[in-house]
Amino acid sequence: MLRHVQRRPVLPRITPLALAILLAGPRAGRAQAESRALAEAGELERVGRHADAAVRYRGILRADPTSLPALLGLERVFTSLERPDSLVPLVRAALARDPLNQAIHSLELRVWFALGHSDSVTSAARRWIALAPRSADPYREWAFTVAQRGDLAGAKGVLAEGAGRLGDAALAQDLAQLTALAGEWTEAARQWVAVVRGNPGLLPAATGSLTRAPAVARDEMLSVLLGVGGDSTSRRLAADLLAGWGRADEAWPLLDATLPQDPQAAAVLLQRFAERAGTMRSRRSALVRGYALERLATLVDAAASERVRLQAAQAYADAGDLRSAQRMLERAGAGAETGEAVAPAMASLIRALAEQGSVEEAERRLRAWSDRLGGDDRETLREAVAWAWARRGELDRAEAVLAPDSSVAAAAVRGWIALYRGDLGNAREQLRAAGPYTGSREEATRRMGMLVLVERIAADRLPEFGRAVLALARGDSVQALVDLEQAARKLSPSGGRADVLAFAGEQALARRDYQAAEDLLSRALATDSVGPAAPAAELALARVQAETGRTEVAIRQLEHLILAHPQSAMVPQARRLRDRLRGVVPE
Amino acid sequence: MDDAQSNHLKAYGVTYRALQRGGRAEWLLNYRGGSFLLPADTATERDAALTGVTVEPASDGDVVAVRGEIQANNMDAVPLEKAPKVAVYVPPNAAPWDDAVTMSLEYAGIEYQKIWDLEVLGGRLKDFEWLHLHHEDFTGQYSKFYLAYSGAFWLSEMVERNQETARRLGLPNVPALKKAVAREIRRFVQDGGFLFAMCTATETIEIALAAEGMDVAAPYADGTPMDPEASAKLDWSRSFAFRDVKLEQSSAIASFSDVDGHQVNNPPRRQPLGAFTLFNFSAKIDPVPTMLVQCHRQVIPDFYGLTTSFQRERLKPDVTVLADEPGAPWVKYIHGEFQKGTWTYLGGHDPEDPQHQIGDPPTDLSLHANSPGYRLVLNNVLFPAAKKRELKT
Repeated sequence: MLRHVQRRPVLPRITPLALAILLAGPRAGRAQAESRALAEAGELERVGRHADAAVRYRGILRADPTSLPALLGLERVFTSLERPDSLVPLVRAALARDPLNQAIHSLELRVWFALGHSDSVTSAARRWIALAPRSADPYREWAFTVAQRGDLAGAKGVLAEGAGRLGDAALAQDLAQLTALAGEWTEAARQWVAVVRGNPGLLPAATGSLTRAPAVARDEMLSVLLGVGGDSTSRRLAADLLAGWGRADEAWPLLDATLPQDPQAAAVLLQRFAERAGTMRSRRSALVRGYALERLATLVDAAASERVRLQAAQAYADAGDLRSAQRMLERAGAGAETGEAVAPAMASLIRALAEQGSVEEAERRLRAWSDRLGGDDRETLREAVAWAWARRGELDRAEAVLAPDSSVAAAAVRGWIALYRGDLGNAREQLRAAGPYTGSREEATRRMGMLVLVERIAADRLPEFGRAVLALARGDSVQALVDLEQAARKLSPSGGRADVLAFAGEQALARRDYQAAEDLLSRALATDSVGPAAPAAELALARVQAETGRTEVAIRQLEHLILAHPQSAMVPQARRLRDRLRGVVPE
Repeated sequence: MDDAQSNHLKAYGVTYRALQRGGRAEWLLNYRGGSFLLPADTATERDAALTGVTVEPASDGDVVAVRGEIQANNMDAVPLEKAPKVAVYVPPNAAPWDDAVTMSLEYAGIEYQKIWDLEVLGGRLKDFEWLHLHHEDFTGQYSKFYLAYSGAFWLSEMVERNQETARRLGLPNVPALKKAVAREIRRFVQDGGFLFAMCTATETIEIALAAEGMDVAAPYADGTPMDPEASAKLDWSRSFAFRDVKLEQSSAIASFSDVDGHQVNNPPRRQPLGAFTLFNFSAKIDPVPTMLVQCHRQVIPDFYGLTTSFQRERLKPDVTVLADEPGAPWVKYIHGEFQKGTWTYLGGHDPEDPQHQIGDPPTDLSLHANSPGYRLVLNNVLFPAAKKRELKT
């Protein structure tokens, strides 16, 4: 239980002390002395001199038997010294002076608990209840002390007794917490709904307690919250839990349908939802974040609504919903004083437009906003637009977009454009200039893989190969295979033919055209079985065999690869695939 | 096998298979993190190449130099003669991915057979030299997941399977079934078997053995409440490793007793993970514990299990501690003899998944081929292969 981390009653003791410091005279002097002594004791405790620290703390208690920092310090050091019993007379003395002090009563319960005297825990709790019959604190602290020894049923019994005397509402939150701690998730969900119904501000506490439920318990909890008899509170809690479990897209319709009438309360829920959806990475969560922010914008004041609409525009753009993103930008941009506020959302929109093939529109917006975008954004977006033109096959326009850009990232794009033109000489130069680290890891790996292949092709111009790579970029792998075969025919066996055939075989494997893949890879190996392309071709061939159900043949192929090319970078992958095929490691 | 070894775990498999083919091998204790000397035959070289195990060719002169170094230092060469017959106590339809030993045996390529209650009680243990137990709960309380996971398919299946086995054997309930299995396992060790247990199996087999004739199971397991005085009545002379253990009385807490120092499922008592240190034994005087701690790391990050560690004050005096967390009241890895056999316990569930939760993805050992924690598991598999006369302790 985490209860003892929160020593809530420290504050009430500090307040009178602070007042005393403001007053001149002996009381202020005593407070300063106590403060010094506490600092010294704390330092002794920090360096592990617990016995010396205990002496200091006891000294403070001689002057003020109710000093809570000293009592709590002694609790710590006596625990380390395995002398919790030494606290008993000090706690009694403190309670004699301050019989209603909640913190000291809690301490007394902890002391008896540490000593293993469960009867004394009960007696101390009963004394406290007698002194404060209308307070829920004694029941709460008692219950959590009982829970600490693993007796959750006993702890619930304590809370039930308190509820019987003080009313159900008094300890309902504690009971729900305890039920969740006991792993009774469905019942805990029921109890938390009742708590939140009484105090909607406790929704985050309820979610915090219930989100820890294991995956196996969640569906049942949801069926309780959303089943017959469920109301807006239970559906709101279900929505909040779903968002906490990373299922924001399922949560949104529930929240949307149960937003409170009060705009302020609704805004709080929408803000919370949008923040949590923003931590997830999927397009669907970005979309529902956009919905929530759009709703939120209608509930806040004009200045805030502009900012929220820009966030919504960005969320929609991230989700690929360009129409909604533009709609939000238009509404926000109308009132925007400067472009700077709009720029991040506009950058997202331009990127999304380029990715979705609306290149003209992306380029138009890029030109219009170029001066207002940050330097990094401007370069990245130029590259995105150039890529979009290149994918369309409009290579001149792509190069024109990149003209003012001399960055290494632009060199990478230029390298690909040269490749698409079949200008392998220029492509090599540009791809080398881009280096191995430019762009995302995935893009850098793809680029370096292509550079390795182009370096092995003994030709400076090979339009068939350029057409093939462009066709691949456009997702047309059928045409790419035709062009790659044509390119291979133009090359000598040692001048890159085997490499291009192996590359073609890998592309065929990627599109699960196993027959073509096996044919191309076998031809690659027949062309050159010991050259640099051979290990990759063998690995791909083994994959084809494995994926067509010929496991033993695949294992033999992999073993051949490992034994024939022991220095190849493909060997670790081959060993791993062999292990997988033999059932030695999980799929 | 120091850091130059590219796949420590599969090296055990290469050695095991060399023995299986009738070859001889030597375990060079403490030599470069513990190494194996194998004959340079074609089959072994091929096996090492396929599995990615680093081998270093050694001429006769090199071997003489190695033996000289072993003679002059805290090292020893132990002949390995015979691939032990290995059994793993695991439910018939269990996937291999939730048990550290099964995973490491599969990954290293060491043959083993799965056995379960019917085989154990049918007298099959005598066919094996080495037996492994993992997360079985020998108190018959289904790892005390009964309340927290009630309704979960895997739990219902576990309950049904165990109850059916008890019925078939004419035993009144699952706790009685597991006690009978525990007794049979003790007989296996008594007669010269090698027992290796991890996670919950360590703590619960001890409780099951000590609880002969008394009820230590929650009502959901056998229909009657646990004997409230059980802790005081347990007979620890019947168990291997522990003594004076206090049982956890609450059926709602997935913890069995105060043996475990970490109490992963008992929030008020749960302790954070640290790291444990392997002890350094004298290789020439204590070859058995030395074999069990052969590793390329001396300090290993700890990992949770339903039983993560063993409180030092709960160990019998003749228990050999193989690894502990310095300054902590618990130890991690222990070993002892019981009549003609030996037992070894390693706390925790999966050395490469320290927080291991139900439903976590399976550990892929090809991503942990140099795992020091898994090496400890595999030390145990090969240790019964050592020539008997060399076992001085």
